[in-house]
Amino acid sequence: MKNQEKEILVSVQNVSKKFSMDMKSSLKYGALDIIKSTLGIKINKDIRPNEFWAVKDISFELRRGECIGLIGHNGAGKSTLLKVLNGLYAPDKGQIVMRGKIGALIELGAGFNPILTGRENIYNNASILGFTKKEVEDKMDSIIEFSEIEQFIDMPVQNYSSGMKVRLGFAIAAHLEPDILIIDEVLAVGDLGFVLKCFKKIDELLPNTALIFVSHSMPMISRICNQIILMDHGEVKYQGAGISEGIALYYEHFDDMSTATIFENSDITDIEISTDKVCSWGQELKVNLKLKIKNLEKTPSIYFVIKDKEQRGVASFICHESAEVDYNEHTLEYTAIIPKIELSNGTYSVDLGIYKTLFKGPLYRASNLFTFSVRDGIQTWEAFYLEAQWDLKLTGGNRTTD
Amino acid sequence: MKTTVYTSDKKTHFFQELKAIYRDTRSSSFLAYQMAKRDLQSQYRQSLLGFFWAFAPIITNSLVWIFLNSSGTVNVNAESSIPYIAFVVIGTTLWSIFTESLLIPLNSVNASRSILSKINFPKEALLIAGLYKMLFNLLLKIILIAGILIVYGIRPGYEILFFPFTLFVITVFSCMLGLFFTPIGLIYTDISRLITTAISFIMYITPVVYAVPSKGLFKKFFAINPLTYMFNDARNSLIGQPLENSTFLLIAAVVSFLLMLLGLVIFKKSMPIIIEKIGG
Repeated sequence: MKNQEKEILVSVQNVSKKFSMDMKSSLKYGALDIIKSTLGIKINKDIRPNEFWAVKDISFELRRGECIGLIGHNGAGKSTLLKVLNGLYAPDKGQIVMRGKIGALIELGAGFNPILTGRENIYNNASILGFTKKEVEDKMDSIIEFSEIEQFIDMPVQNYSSGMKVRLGFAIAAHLEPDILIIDEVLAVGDLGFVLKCFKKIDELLPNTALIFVSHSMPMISRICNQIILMDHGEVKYQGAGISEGIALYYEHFDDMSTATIFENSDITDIEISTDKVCSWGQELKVNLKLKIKNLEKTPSIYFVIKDKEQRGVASFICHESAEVDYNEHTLEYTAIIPKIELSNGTYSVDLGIYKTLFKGPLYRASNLFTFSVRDGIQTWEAFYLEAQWDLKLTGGNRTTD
Repeated sequence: MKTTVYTSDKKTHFFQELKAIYRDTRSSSFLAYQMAKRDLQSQYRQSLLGFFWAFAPIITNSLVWIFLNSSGTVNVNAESSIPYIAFVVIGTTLWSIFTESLLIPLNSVNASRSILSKINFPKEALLIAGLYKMLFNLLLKIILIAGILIVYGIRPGYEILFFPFTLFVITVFSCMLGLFFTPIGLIYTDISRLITTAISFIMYITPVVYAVPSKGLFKKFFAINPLTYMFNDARNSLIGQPLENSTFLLIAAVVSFLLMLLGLVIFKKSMPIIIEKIGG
């Protein structure tokens, strides 16, 4: 059994798939292809007028216990590739070899009938997923328990919330025990508790499964994948085991970091920022802020938030200093020095909030006021790469290294 | 371990495909049963009158013709051996069986459009589920026919043993026809509109509400319509008369069955193209 851990379950060689630009030619080509395949005439696999490659020349291999992540912007061809892998669409070029039982979570709860009860719909969905009658009956209790909706299981599914439907759908799919599992952005609907439960289940399945995972959530991708493919307009832009590198490339696609002023007050004017655009890991970062104030009793509090590419706040720095200004007009200049930047490599954007006193009486808020990038550290998915003192002890030889 | 290969140009021949169809049909028997059960359950759960609606179209269509005939508006020629009401009810029941089986493949696939492009399951299950639903409705319709026979005191002879055979011929013939226009019909909706329009015309050159005319142009139309022979013999077997075209029926059954296998292979081969074009 140990040897099985290394076997290749998915082998994809130069797979391409074309689509039509418009409905009219799509239907025409479809009808022509059907007639041709019926009469045994060879179908031309090259691009015809009004067609384009939705997926072009994708190759990869996946072993049991491995997970490949497919990322890319909307319309990059991820879902099309999944459908080709699942055998829903025939590839126009190339070959796919799948070994073992395939489970695809492209939509949860397929085949549910809204009028029937949850229990009846477990049979409907499970049969479509390929369960036998005996398997459904054996796993019924376990499915209901996993879904955590025992008390509503005999209620018509039309009265379920979307979260409850997803729970039931995933509970059924989780009992599939596939060799190859294909997951397409289906876990986004449930609440946090359920998403965590799903991941626990996926972790449980992973050692015995080859997993193909599509998501826009980079934390999820970095959590479970050991190789990724970044797709752009159907083609591979990055492929390999460097998850952080691939994710960084993915983020580059969305570089709209324009400044937006969310809240203003006529008492604060002429805001100017000057700062280093690039800083080195472990070195200082200096930010200089100039502004004019009037009608204020004291100088305001300054609140900077550093955000990563996903607009997730990862750190803040705050000015608590204040001086009496007695409602006169003043020009203020703040200089902040952060002595040691321990953020991992990448580009960060900074928001600014100005308050009369901290978090009370907001005067000004702007997002993406400026950006800076960190280099010379290492590229990790996590926001921080912390300096640490390490001590390594080797027992047995009784030797200590620093 | 089961190995699945998807390639651009799959080279298969007819018998390989047939074997695959047989295998998929067997492996999806639970799915087909479950789909039919789901549709029937949901259909009747949201209805007060329930089974009545299986009979309603037959009853209304029969009533129209009974009214037209008895009021003298239309003077139809029917067989004199049985009352006209029995003639009409049997005819329209057979007709409803024909139209239902004709549209099984198209309707079953259309009804599950939404899941076609999301889950890979044996598409044969859709056809089998449609067949199950048709058979369920058929049982109800047979009860209706039995009721009519009892009410009018028509005593069928040993010929009734041929009735299942005639039903089989009608079903296989119509499924075969339906299967052939399904692949293109799923892509262009014109086809299903064309079929529904054509059906309403064909009914008048089939002995449904009146018998075959004894002379004239219409007699020729009836003569070239294979349904004429099937319907006449199905009705004959019910009312205790001998089959008139048993050889034709046998040949029709065999030819239809073989053509149906061909239709199935075309259906299976065109499914990936269809899913790509119509799947949501």
